[in-house]
Amino acid sequence: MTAKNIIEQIEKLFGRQSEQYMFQLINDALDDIASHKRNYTVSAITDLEEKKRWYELSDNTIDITKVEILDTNSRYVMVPKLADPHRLLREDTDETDDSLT
Amino acid sequence: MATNKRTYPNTYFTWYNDDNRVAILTEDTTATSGERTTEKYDTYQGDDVTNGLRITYHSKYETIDAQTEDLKTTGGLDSGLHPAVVCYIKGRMFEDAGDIQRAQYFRAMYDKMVKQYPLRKTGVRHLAVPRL
Repeated sequence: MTAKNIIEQIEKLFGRQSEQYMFQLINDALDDIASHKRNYTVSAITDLEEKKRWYELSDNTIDITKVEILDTNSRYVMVPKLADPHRLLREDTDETDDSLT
Repeated sequence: MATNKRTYPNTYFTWYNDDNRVAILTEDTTATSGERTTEKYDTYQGDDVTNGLRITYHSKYETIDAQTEDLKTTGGLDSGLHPAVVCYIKGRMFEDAGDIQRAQYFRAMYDKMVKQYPLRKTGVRHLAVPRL
């Protein structure tokens, strides 16, 4: 169903409406559904960088399902999640990572 | 100092996250580090790798901002849930108009559609309670 189909259904009941208002309500509905159903899965690829610990997540991220590293055979290999990150002694930040030894 | 462990990434790499970032770590197995504090994992210090990191995540749906855009192909929403979007909008509009009774009717329809729609394609995810 396109946005136009939805707007036509709404306008049949409520009459002519502002297009921006309709888009706002459609996107509100999508956000509301996303808060209940987590079925839209996407992947993002970025460069693995030397001495960089933290990589920004997209604003659209709800939860992470998998992290993979490109191996030396150019295949993505899933890596495990660290179960106890609170025990790490060194928390490199974006400001300090260039001075790592 | 951590070295390039990309031959067997699943053995050497690990990750964790906070609210808006992912941290990538590698196992630190080098004995020649000059650091006084030693621990199992450290920040990756091998060479840069183009497209070396892939993160898969559950995402919000994409924003719709043109009438021709399809909620399935552009937004990522299953076509079976498109009627729920219509119910949501009707509920909101009746609410704005002060017609609470109709707003509640469409809100209830919306909730029912969203709740009952079987979205998990990877398997059944509910607790089966045995009959006693």
